[in-house]
Amino acid sequence: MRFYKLSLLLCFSFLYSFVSAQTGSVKGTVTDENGEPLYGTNVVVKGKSIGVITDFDGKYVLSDVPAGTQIIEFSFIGMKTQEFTVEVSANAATTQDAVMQEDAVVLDDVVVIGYGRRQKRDVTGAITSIGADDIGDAVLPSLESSMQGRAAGVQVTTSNGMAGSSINVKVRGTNSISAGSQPLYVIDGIPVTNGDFSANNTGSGFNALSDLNPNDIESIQILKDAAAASIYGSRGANGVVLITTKKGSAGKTKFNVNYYSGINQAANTMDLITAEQHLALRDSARAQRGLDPESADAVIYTPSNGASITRGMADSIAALGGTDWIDQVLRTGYVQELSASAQGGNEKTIFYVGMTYKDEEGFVLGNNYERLSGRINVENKATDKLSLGTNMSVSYSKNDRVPTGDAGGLGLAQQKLPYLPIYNEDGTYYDPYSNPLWQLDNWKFQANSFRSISGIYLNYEITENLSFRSEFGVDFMNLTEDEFRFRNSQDTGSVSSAWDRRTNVFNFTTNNYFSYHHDFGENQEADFTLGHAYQRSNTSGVGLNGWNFPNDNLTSPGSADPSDMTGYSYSTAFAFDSYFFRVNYKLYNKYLAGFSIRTDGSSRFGENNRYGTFPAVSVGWIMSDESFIQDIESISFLKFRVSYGLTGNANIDDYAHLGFYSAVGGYNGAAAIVPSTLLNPYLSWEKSIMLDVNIDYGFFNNRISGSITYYDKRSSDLLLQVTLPSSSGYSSIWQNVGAMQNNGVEFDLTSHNVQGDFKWTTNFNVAFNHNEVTDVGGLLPDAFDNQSGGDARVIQGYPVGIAYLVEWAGVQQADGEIPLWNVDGTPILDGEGNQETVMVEAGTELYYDANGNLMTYANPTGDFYGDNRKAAGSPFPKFVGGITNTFNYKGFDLNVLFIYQYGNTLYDDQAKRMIGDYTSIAQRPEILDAYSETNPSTEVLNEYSTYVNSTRFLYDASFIRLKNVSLGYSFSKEICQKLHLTNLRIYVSGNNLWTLTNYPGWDPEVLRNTSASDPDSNVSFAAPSFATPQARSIIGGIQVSF
Amino acid sequence: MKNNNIIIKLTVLSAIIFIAFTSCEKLLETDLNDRIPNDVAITSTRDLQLVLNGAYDGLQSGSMLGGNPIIYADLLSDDGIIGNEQKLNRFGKYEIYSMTTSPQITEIASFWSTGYSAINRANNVIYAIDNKLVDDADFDIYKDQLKGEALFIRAVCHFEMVRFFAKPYNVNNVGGNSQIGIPYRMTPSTNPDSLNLVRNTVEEVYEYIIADLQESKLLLESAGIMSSTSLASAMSATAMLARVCFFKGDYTLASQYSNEVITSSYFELSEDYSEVFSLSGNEYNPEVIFQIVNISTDNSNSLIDAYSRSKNPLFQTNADMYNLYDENDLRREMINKYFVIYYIKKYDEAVVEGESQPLNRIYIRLAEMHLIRAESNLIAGGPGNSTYAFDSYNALRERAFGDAYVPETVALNDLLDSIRIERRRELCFEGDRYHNLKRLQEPLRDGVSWNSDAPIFKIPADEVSGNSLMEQNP
Repeated sequence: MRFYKLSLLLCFSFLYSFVSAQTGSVKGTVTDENGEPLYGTNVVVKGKSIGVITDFDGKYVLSDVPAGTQIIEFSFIGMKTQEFTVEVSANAATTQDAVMQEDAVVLDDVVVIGYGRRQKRDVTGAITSIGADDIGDAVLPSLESSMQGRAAGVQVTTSNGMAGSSINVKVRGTNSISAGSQPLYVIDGIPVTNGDFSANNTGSGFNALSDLNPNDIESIQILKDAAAASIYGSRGANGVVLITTKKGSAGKTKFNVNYYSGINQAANTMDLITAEQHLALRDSARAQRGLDPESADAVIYTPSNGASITRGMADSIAALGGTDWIDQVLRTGYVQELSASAQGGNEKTIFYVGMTYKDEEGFVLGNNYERLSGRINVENKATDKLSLGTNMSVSYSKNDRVPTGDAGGLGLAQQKLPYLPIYNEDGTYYDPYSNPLWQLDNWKFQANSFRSISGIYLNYEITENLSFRSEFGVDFMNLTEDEFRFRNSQDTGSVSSAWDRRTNVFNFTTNNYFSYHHDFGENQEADFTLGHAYQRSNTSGVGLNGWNFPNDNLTSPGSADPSDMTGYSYSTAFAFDSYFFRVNYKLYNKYLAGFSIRTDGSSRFGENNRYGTFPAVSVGWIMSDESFIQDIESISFLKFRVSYGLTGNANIDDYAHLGFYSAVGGYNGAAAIVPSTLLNPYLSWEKSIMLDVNIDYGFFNNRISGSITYYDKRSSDLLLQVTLPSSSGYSSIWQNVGAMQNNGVEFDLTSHNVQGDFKWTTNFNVAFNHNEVTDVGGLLPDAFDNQSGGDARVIQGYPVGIAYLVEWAGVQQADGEIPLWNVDGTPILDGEGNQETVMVEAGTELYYDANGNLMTYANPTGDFYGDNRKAAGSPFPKFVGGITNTFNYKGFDLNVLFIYQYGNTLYDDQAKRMIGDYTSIAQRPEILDAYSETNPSTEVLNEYSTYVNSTRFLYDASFIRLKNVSLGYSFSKEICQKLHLTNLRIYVSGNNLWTLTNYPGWDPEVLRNTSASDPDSNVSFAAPSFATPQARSIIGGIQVSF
Repeated sequence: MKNNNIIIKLTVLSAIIFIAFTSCEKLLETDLNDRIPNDVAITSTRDLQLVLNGAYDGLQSGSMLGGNPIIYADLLSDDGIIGNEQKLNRFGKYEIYSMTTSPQITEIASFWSTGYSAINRANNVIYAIDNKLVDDADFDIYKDQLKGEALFIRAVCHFEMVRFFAKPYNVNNVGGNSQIGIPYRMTPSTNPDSLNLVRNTVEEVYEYIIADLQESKLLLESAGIMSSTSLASAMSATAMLARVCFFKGDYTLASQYSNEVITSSYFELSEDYSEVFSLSGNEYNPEVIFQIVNISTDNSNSLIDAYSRSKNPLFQTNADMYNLYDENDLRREMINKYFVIYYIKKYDEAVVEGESQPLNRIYIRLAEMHLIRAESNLIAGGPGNSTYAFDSYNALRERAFGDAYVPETVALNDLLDSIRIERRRELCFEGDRYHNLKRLQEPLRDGVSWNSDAPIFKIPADEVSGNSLMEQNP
């Protein structure tokens, strides 16, 4: 027994000694490229079930590693997996450190495509990517602005510099006449609500996307051609903008804090003539007509209430310098933003949380914007096969909106006569109803927007090659608009009025799809995607208006007497039911082919056309992998690809296909219903067939890289509001009758000009697009008249939105006769067979009639406008683009972005009044050069206050603009470490600092104020009316990471 | 095993999702809570009433009877003068005033489309009744009334428009006015491919108007609706017949119809002339034969802005107009003399309990019937002949002078002239003068010929481009 015990003991000790004699340990520290310890790195002994995870200091110890040659594998999400061969000695600790490197393939070369990701190299569609780093330090009015000047073929125009105002994004030109032409925005797989949901127009649209926080963006991919966008079927024709938010990565939690603050100003100045000049103009106009000078007590301005202004009073105001109305309405505002984020996680769970507070005081009195937003993105790997996550964002914004443009405010300030006073002698506002300062002081409009875009998803790897992904997302927007217009205390009949308007948009999406990878062997592989998507969006709005409040302290519409109230409610909805399939095939890793198809059904389409199918094919050839090019050393990458396919535009009105009656106010208190529209059961999406030919290149070890693309996009079945005889009781019906084409060339180039300590990188892009309407369904140009000016039309053979004007022929230089003509070009004959003539005084404006003969407004050929207008100008630039130069030296970084466009015209709608209508509104300096006997050889009319729409006011609006300059300094590692920081950077940045243009209006970067949902927004955009300029902001900021 | 379970669960889940989203058509259905599909819009007598109210709503619009045709008539004739040039807006009233309209004038397009949309609403009612699309207990009770009112609205809208968009009816060529008028719409618009319609001649348009009004009169009589404070009635149809016949020079019929209204005992001249023009809401004056009622929620009365002194109005008038009245003529109070400015007072705001209210628009009133009867009788003879003419003339004079009235003797030879002057005094700024000058074939403002093309509105661009059969005015 004793022996037995002993032998067991011996046996154990032998065993023990045998084991202990045969194992050792491995320890070490894992860091990233910056020397930061990496928490959560998997360290395993390959082929053995021995593994640990590094601790917070990046340290690990592998014990009981069998002695001998072992392979230690280090892996970390987003990093390259590394293996080291280690000689493990028994009973000894071997040290093996690892420096993990970011997996370039994962981070740099994977692009988000619809319902999936793909290596950039293998992509056969036209996709432009913008990363968070590209966006820089600019003050962004909205996330779309981050694309401006940075993506070839994407034209971004901010309508003006008012905080929260709308932005127009055109991917490869306008594809539509009457339907929406903005791209589809998809954030983390959820198509989001965009557009203008404001119930009231303050002269500057509202942009639903302005509530999204640009700081949360990881990357933006713009799908431009059919191969990329047809997976979005009936919604891909205007391009698709895929936005991916930041996800976080495993490792020590990193904190990032950024704060900036600065000032806001109007980008340009607007020159108007002074009060003295203006009064002198009155005098010379009278003198020319042979009238006596105005007496001091002659009334020259009569307000709608209050005292009139006599010439004498105006003279004394002018003597004191007059009133600079624009200056009174503008101010230097401020802008500040604080954002903080944290990201991190471990091998199981990664997260990103971020919060941003932005506070902006606009450059127009009373215009303010505040936004608080937060985001939580979490992803968990529940099992080896199952991962699930959520992307949630919430934002709340408060926008004090002020009237501008045609609605008053700054728009009115541009019109105000400089010899009028602001205040009465008692300090009250003079002429309140048309006093912009009174308006800004007494009209309050606050828009509060609550927005949440949140989704959950799960991803299940059914087999190694087959996975299933399910996404559910909700985009909820609640917009509350409170408007209060205080009564005019100088007008006894005036009462206060208040509106409370609320709009809710609930947008639900689910995407469910399978992804399958198949290796055929023999260097063939293919990826398949098959799935279903469903979206439903409901919009509803209510508003209550009350007026005539019993007490001035009551400002809520509900406080008014029930007889002094009115209101509205509405609701609309749409749904999309979609099925999609895609296959991407690759042979020898260099021959690529793709096919995708989507079937979309939508409630927006007529009963006889509920579902549409959108296929696309593409091929690609990575030529640089061919041996005959591999030998050419200067070529590092060369890819050729072609795609062809069909996409649709379903941005049509939710109920355009319906024929319906609706309720109207009725008569004498009795309700009424009236026929509103006629039925069109065939109404469908707009179709775009697109060809795309592209070469991606990289030279000199990719120091120069980029792409060049030709595309041809033919859009047909365009929705047009076909005019019905208005005597039918209907004005129009929506039909798919129009056609348009866009074709052009895009070129972009990235050049690492200088590398080393001093780095200089240039990104350049330019896009040429030619837009032409090819079918208008027989509609006459005037069928596209928006009835509110601008004179933009849609004419076959011309770009959409072409100006339609009588051609101006200058000014009659001396009194003389001009012959009269008939519309058909024949002379008008008198009784004796001689051509009739008419006396034209010097200084009279001359025009060309349709046949090129001279005429005047008073004696036109036929009907002045009806018979003589023609297409003029060019609403779109011939080319547009941007150039970014980035310089780095030691800790300094400098980023300079210029944007430019060339060859477009703006019809400056109100210039016709600002150069001539001197009795009513302020005048531009051009009027000082008007015709007079002493100034006969001028191009400026003297027929004051006869304002005529003509090409006279069609101006070249080409410009080049220094959009953004950012200069930063990052403190050295040593300083950062002393401060326990990983990074510390300070910077200054300026927007819209300098502009070169010949455009005489306020700002060439401008859009006419139309709601994005208004069919006219595709047409009259190039005809601003009392425009508001862009904002110039100059900020300084600090970024801290730890 | 565990993994297999998950696979099974997921497969089932995805299958459910697929089936849920594919099996039913309901996926694409959306609620229409503020729209009624056309095919189910009219299913009851109540619906007919609602659509008819819609037709009244169109009639009430500022572009229609709400006021603009009155403003246009004054822009084109000589009762008023322009008091505020700023309200003579370009591409609008300026072109109307200067008689240089083009197809692009927005408010003219609105006049046209509003008128025809009221007509289409009325036509939907008429069609549904004629084709018995409704079959409920109330139908037989109300169908005559509803159709009678709809016909009245259809006739009035066509009448207002034909007088601005076509050359005037030449009263010296009764029955032969073959100049182009406007399309007379008699059926509801349903098929977008067949909406083109040619312009009828002025003669035809007047014929159809008279036929509609006559049918309206009969139907409303059979429905027992003789007069109404806010709606069309048999008497308003009769009064319109008098007016239409008068302007087409059918003085015999004009005399008969006007006499029928005057002697019907439903109406009497208001003792206080000004009271007729200050009615609001359900206020009523027995002189009123048909009025458009405006209640506090209506803001369609465009007249105040154009005439009321408090609004720095478009129109003033002048000494000539002021001096047209005897100093004891109470109607002169409708002109407010302020130093050298003569403001028009006919359309000042109504004030009810301290709050300003939109004014009712008095479309046709008894005084006009007297004027029509007086003039028609003198020209055409007819019942009572000159006796009626004197009676009507005196009735108006007596009311105009009130307590200061002294019976006067007018020679029969002078009576026609006196009646015509009286017509101007009585109906000034009510949209009569322009059309009356054309009837009398006297020059319009600034010597423009009554038959000139210049003041005739151009057909709006939408109509010309949408209607392949449309012919533009010269």
